[in-house]
Amino acid sequence: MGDSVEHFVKRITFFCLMLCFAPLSVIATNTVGVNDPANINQNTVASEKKRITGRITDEKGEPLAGVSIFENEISNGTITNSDGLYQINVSSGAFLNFSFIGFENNTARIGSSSVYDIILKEVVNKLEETVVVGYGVQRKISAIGSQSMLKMSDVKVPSASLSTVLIGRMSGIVGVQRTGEPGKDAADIWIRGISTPNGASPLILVDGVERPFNDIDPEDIESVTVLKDASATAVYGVRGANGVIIIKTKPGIIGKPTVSVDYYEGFNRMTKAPELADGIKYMEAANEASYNMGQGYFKNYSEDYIENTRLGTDKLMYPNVNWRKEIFKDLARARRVNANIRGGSQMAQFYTSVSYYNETGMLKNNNYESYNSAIKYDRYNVTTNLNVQLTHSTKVDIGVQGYIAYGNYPGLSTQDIFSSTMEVNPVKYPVMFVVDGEQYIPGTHTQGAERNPYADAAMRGYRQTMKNRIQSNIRITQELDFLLKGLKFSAMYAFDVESARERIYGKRESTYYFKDRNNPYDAEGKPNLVVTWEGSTALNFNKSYSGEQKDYFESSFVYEKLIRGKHRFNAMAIYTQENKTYNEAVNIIESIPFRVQGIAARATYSWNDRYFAEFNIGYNGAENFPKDRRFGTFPAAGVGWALSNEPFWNSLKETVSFLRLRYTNGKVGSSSTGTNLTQRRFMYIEQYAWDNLYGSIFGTSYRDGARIVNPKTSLEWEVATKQDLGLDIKLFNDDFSLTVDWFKENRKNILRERNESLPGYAGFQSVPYGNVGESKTIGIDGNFEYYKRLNKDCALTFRGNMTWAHPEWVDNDIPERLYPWRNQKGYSLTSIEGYTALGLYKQTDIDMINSWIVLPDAEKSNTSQPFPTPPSVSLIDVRAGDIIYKDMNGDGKIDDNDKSWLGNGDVPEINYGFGFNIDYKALSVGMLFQGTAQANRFVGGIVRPFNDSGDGAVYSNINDRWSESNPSQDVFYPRLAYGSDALSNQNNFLNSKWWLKDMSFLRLKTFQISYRLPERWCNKVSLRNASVYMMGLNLFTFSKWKLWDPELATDNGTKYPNTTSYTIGLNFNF
Amino acid sequence: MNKKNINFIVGLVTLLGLMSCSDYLGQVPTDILTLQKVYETRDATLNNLATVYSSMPAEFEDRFTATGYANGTSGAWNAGCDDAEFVWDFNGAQIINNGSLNSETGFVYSYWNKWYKGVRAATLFMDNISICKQLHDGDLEQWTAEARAARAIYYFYLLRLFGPIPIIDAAISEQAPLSELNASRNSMTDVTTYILSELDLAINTGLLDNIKLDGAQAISSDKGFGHIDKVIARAFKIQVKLLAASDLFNGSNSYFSDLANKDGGKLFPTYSDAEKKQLWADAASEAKSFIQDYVGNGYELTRIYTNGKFDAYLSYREAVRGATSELLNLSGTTSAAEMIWFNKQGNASLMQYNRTPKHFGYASDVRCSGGMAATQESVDAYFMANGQKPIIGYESDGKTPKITDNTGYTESGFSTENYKDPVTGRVLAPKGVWNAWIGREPRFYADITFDGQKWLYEGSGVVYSRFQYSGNSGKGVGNSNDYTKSGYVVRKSAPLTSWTNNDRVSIMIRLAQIYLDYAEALNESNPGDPDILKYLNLIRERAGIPQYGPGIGQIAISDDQATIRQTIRNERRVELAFENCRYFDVRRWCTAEISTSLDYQGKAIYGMNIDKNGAGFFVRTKIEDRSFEKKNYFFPLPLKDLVINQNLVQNPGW
Repeated sequence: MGDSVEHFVKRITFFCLMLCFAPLSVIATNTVGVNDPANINQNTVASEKKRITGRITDEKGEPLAGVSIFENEISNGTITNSDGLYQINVSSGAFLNFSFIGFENNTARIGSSSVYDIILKEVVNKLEETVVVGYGVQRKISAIGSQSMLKMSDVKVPSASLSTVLIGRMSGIVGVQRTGEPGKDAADIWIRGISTPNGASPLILVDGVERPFNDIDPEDIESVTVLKDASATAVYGVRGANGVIIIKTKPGIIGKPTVSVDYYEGFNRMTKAPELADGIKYMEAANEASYNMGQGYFKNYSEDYIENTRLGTDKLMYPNVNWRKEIFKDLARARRVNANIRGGSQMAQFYTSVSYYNETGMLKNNNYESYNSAIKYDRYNVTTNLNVQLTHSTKVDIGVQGYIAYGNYPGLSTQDIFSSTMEVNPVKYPVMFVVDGEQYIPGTHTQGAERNPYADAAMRGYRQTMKNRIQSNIRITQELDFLLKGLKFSAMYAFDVESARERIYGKRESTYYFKDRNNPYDAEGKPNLVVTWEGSTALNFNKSYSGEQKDYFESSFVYEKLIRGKHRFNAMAIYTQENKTYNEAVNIIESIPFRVQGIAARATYSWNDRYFAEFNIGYNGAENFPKDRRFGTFPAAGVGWALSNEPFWNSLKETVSFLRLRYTNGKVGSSSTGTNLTQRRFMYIEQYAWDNLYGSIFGTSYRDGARIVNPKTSLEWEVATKQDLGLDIKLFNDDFSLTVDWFKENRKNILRERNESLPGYAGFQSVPYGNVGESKTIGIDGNFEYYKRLNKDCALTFRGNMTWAHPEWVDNDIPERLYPWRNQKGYSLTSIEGYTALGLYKQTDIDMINSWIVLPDAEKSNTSQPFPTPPSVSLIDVRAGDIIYKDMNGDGKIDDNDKSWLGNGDVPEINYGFGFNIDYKALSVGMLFQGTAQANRFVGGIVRPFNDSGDGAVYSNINDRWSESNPSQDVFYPRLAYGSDALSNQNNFLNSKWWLKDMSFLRLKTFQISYRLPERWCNKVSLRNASVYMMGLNLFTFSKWKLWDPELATDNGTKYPNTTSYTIGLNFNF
Repeated sequence: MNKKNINFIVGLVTLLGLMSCSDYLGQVPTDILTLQKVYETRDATLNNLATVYSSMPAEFEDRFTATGYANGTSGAWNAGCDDAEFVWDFNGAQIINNGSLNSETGFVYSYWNKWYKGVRAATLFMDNISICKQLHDGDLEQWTAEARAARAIYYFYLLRLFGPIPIIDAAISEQAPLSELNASRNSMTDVTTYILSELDLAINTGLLDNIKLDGAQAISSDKGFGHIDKVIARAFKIQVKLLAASDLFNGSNSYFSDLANKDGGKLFPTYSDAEKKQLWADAASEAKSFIQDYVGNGYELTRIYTNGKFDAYLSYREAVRGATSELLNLSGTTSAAEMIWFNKQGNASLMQYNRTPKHFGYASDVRCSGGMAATQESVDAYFMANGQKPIIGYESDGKTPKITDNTGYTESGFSTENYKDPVTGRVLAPKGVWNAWIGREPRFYADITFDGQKWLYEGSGVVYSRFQYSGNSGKGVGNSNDYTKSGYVVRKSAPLTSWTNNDRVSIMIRLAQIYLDYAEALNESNPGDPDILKYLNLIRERAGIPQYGPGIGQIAISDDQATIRQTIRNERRVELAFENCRYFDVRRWCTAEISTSLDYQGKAIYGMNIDKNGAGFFVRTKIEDRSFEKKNYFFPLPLKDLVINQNLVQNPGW
C-alpha cells in the first residue's frame, strides 16, 4: 500500500514538473512568430504603407518614453523614445493603439495627416485600475477583500528599515519602532492588532515569497499592499491568519533605459535622550530618601560632601558625572545612495539597482583603545528584475535581490550600556583615573557590579556582525488561449539563502578605587588606588552563526472571461509549498525543515460592475498535526455592490462619483505556536530529550536526565473567523476618496501551552499544548485622500488613515478566579495585572491610622480599620506620601485579590497618520504626522528611585515628588525612601496604576521639501530631470510621557532611542 | 472550449490537489528519541533514574529560592526563620518574613510543582523500567526501590511544607480530561501511613544495604553515593514519624482541627494523649533501631584529635563541612562519618559566597559578600564554654537580653588577649574583640564570623573581618549591596580555601540530628529514660562542653519533662543551626507563635548597628520586623491548582 502510494506520488510530481516545463516547449515552437517591435519598421517598409510620426506627452506636456504603439490587429508596432517621439509605417485607414502602463489607452485612426501628437491621460481612480490581491492582481472595483496599498513612489524616508516606513501610512497596520539602534531598528508590525499569543506577526511576502523585508532598499520597492480580511487572506490558508503584507519590487518598464540616482546625507540625533539628575540634585534626593526612613538612618551625603561636589575642585574624590554625556555623542550620520537603471522593449524589460546605506551610532569611542567600538552599519544592496516576453503568450520574470550588511558595535549591547548609565549615580566615582598616562577604570563594587558606564561603552571590546542574503525567483507565465481563451498557467520557483555571523571581541578590565578616602593622594598628588575587581585587558573571542535556506514553489491556473461585456468571471487555482531550514538549529527537531503546503482557489463574478461576488478557499497542511487532522479547509466569501454604477445613481454622480459596499466573511487558520526556531513542533509525536536540568549525580558522575519535551497531543487548527464590512466612497469628481472597514474577528481553538489549566500536582515535565483559547477582536480602519489641482501650477493632497483594533480574551484557559476583576477575560491579550492606586496618604490619614492602632483590641474589633492593610507592610509602617491602594474585595487588606487587569499593554490600540503635500510649480512640500493612542506600560527601574541597593541614578524630574515641604497629591514620585528593604519602597513600588503610564504620542514623522531643478539647467549637464530635497524625520513628538521616547520597548529608558534625522538629498535621472 | 480541454484542466487541478496529500509534511524521522529509546540501554535507564532524583533540594542555592541546579527546590529555610537574614531582597525568605507570602507567590507553586514532578518521574520510572532489556541482575529491583523511596521522600517534603497533600498514586496522563484531575487532599494519617509503607516496601524489595560499607563501589554510578540505601530510607522513616508525632501534625493545634475536605473528611487526626504518646514512642523506637544498626557500621559522630587531645572545635567544624573528596574517608575525622543524606548537585560557591565576608581590598579568593547574616538571636543561642546558656530570653521590647547570672557572659568591654580553646590551646578569637564573643563554646567559633574574627583561609594573606560601617566588610565600603545586615556572617560550612572551591556536598540529615530526634521522641514518650540524656550528652561531648547530669564537671538538670524538652530544643537549635532545620522545628513544635518562647518567629530580629563605627556598632539594633501568624505554620496551596481543581481545600488563613 505504502509503496503504491509513493509510486503514485512520484508520478504526480513528475507530471507537475512537466507542467512547469510545458511553457518552455511552447517557447520553442513559437519563436518564429516573435518579432522585436522596435525593428519592425526597418524590416518591413512596404510601399503601400505610410510613415507616421508624432510625439506623445502626458497632460502636463511631459514627453512619455516607452509608450507602445501598435497597428491594430497586426504585429506591427514601436515605442516612443526618450523625447516621446515615434515613427511607424502603417497602412492608411488603420487604427493606431497607444498604450502605456498607468495611462489610459488611446487610439487614433490614420487619416491624411502624417503627424499624430497624442496626449495620454493618466489613469486616476478609474475602473481599470488594478490592485494586488492574494496570488495576483484584480480590477480594483471588483476586489472586495479588505486591503490597503502604498505606492512607494509617494514615499521617501531616510530609514534603513522598511517596516518603520509603513507605520502611520497604511490603515490596518499596528506598529511600533522599539529601538533606533543602527541595523536593529526594524519596527514590530501587526495587522489589526494582536489576537493570539502565538506570534501574531503577519505573513510578509516579497515578490510572492515569504521573506524578511526590512533590509530591502525602500527605493527598490514598487508597492506595499496589506491584506486584512479573510476574503483577501483565505487563499494563504495556514499562513494568512494574521494578515498578509505583499511587497513588490520594481519591475522593468518599456522605454529607453533611464538611469536614476538618489543620494542623501543626513544627521541623526536622539528623539528624546533620557535626562538624569545631576550630582547635587541626586544627593539631595538621596538624603531625603534616607531621612524619610526615620531615626537611626544616616544621611547618605554630608553637607561637606555636597559642598565639595558643588565646588568641583577635586573631581576624583567628589565627582559629578553626567554619564550619558560621557558616553553618547549628540550627532550621528546616515547616508544612502541608490542608482538604478530601468527600461526595456516590448520584448524584455529590466530594473536593476545598486545601493549603499551607511549609518553611524551615537556612542563614543575611546581613543586609548586599539580598536574602534563605535556603532557603524553599512549595507550594500543589489536588485535585478527582468521581465521577458518569450512569445506572444509566454512570459518569464526573473528577480534576484541581495544584500550584504556589516555592523560594528561595542562589546556590550547598547541596552546593557544604557542600563549601566542608570545603575550608577553621578557621584559614585569619576569617569576615569589617569595616572602617568595610564587609564585606571574607577569602580567600587567588590564583585564588579555597578559597572563603570564609560568603560562599558568604550572599553569592553567590540562586536562585528555580517549578514548577507540572496533571494531569487523565476516565474513562467503561459497563456493557454489555445486550450481555453482566458486561461493562463503560471509557475514560480524561488530560492533564498541567508547567512549571518557575529564575532564578539570582549574584555573587562580591572577596576580601581581609592585605597582609603581619608588618605587619597600620595606625596606627588597621584591617587592611591587599589584594585577593587580583577579583570583583564586581553580580548576574548566569541561567535555565533545564523541564517536560513528556503525554497518555494507554486503553480497556478488563472481564468478570465468577459461575457457580453457584463458577466465577468475570474477563477484561480494554485498549489504552493515552502521548505525552510535554519543554520542555527541545535537539535533534530529544530533541524527538520519547516514546511507548509497547500492549495487554494478563488472565483469571482461581477455583473456589469455593479454586483460582485467572490469565493476563496484554502486547503492547507501543517506539520504540527497528526496525519488525519493535518489538512484544514478555510473558505471565505464576499459580496459587493457598487451603488454608484446603478442607473438610478446618475443624478447623484456629480457629488458622489463612486459608492460601493462590501462584506466578507471567512475562516483563516493558524498552526504555529510561535515565530522562533525553538517553538514546539510536531505535537503529535512523543519527543524526549536528554536534559542536564533534570539530572543528578551518582557516584562521582553527573548524569543528564531524560525529559519529555513534548507529550503526544492531537491538535487541530487555530481558526480565525473574520468579518469585514467595507465602504468605499468617492466625492467631487473623484477628488476625495474614503475607505472605511469595520471588522470583527473571532479566534477559536487557540493553540496554547496549558500551563494555566493543568494543575501543578500532576507533575508534568512538559505541559502539553491544547486548542484552548478564544479571543475576539473588533475594530475600524480607514483612510482618505483628497487631491485637488487648484490650477496649472498648484496641487494639494491631504491624506489620513486610522486603525483601531481592540483584541480581548474570551477565554484564556485560566479557570475563573474568585473575584471577577481577576479574570483577564474581556481584557486585551497584552493587558497587565496590578493594583489600583487611589492617591497618597495625607498626614491626617496617618493620624487617623495611629489613633486607631493604639485602641485596645476589644475596641479595635468594633471599629473598622481606617485603611486596608497595605501589601508587604503593616499598616503602622505607612507614612504620609505613600501610595494608598484600593481594597477591591473589601476584606481590609491589600493582596493579590485586589489586583485587576489594567491598560492594554504597549501595543497601541489606535494608530493613525495624516499629512499633506503641496506642489507648486517645481516646489513640493509634504508633512506626515503619526500617532498612537491607548498604549501604556508599567514603568520601573530607576523610575522607581532608590530601589535595589538604592545606588542607581535618578531621572531629572526627581524634584517632582511628595515631600514634607510639598505634600501634594499631584506629583510624579511618592514619598522617597532608600533601598529596596525600605518599607515605603516596598509599598510604593508595586505594580499599580500609579506607575502605569500613558505612552501615546503624536509626532511629526516626516517633513519634506523638494525642488525640481529647472529643465534648462538639467539639459546643460544632459540630465533629464533633477531635484533636491530636504527631509526631517521624527522632528517633534508630543506625548504626556516625558522621560524617554514613548515608542521604545522599555520600562526604564534603557533602549537605544529612536532618532530624529535631518537629511539633504539629490535625485536625478538621465 | 471542448470537452477534452475541460478534462485536461480538471485533471491537472485534481492532480495538484492529490499532490498536496503526499507526505511532504510527514517528515519527522521515526528514530527520534521516544519513550522506548530513553530506556533502551542500561546507561540510559540510569539517566532516567537521575531524573527521579532531580527534584531533591540543593540547599546550597538558597540565595535563589526554589531555583538553581537540577530541578531547583532550594529552600528559603535558614533565612526564613530566626537563624539568618539575607541582605538581598530578591531572596524568597524576605517574602516569608514580611508576611506577604500568599497562594500566588511564585515559589509556593515551585516547591509544590517540582516535588510533584519528582513524584511523577518516580512513578513513570517504576512503570517503564521494564522496557530496558539490558539491565544487570538486581538493577530492576534496586532502582525500582530507589524510585519508590525517592517518591516517598518527595511526599515527606510536601507534607512538611504544605500539610496533608493529595497522594497521586498513578502517573496522570498529559491528555487526561479535567474530570480525572479532581484529586483531593489525603488526611495526615493516610499520608504518613502511605509514606512509611512505601519506604518499608523499598527497604524490603531492593534498596542497597549501606553504601558506605561497599568500599570502592560507593563511588560507582550504579550503586554508589547519590543512590538511596536502607540507611537513608530509615533515616527518613524517623523524620516522618517525628513529624507525625509532633504537635503541629498530631492534631494538637486547634487552628487546624477543622480543616476538612469538601466531603467533610477531616485532614488532621484527633488523638487521645495516649495515642499521641504512642506516636512518639514509634518515632523513638525507629530512631533507636537506626542507632543500634548503624552506629559503628560506617556511622559515628566526627571526632578529631589534635596533639592527642580531643579537638571539639575542629571535630564539629569538619562534621558540618561536607567535602565530596572525603566521602570515602570513614576514619571518623571527616563529615563522611556522620553524613546520612546529602546533596552533591548544588553549586557550593554560591553558598560560600554568602558565607564569606566582603573583605574589600583583599584577594578575590576571600572577597565575597557575607550576604547571609546570622541574627543576634542565633548568636545568643550558643552556650558558653562552661556549658551554661548565657541568654534565656528577651525583655518585652524583644531586644534587651535576659542574661543568666554567673555564666561569664558580658556585653561590655573588649578582650585584651587571644581567646584560646581551653583544651587544645587553639586560638578561637583574636584579641580586641567584643567580650560577648569571648568564652563561648567551640561551636560558636565554628558557626559565626563576628567583627574582628580572623578569616579561615589565609592562603592569600591573613584577613580580619571587620563589620563596622567602614570596616573591610562593612556596609559603607565597596558601595555594594554585599554586606551583612546584622554584623555577623554565618560561618558554618564556610570554605577553608578559596570560596570558588566546589568540593562540597550540602548536608540534609546527619547522625547528630538522629541523636537529637531520638532524645526528643523519647522525652515525649518515656520521660526519664536514661537514653535521653545519654544521646543529648553525646552531642554536647562532641561539642566540647560539659554534659548534663549529676556527676563532677556535669551540669545539674531537673528531670522534669518540660525542662528536658526545652534543653533538647536549645541544643538542637545550636547543633543544627543554619542546616535548614529550625524553620521546620519551630513549626513542628507549634512554638513559632508563642511570644514568650525562644522560638517566637513574630519578633523583630536584631544585630549589631552596621551603620555605625566604633562604640556605636556594638549596640543591639533592629534589622527587620518579622511577622508570624498561625497560618504561617504551613504554606498555602498554590491558588492556581485550587481554581483548577475545586476539590482541593486551602489551608486555613490563606
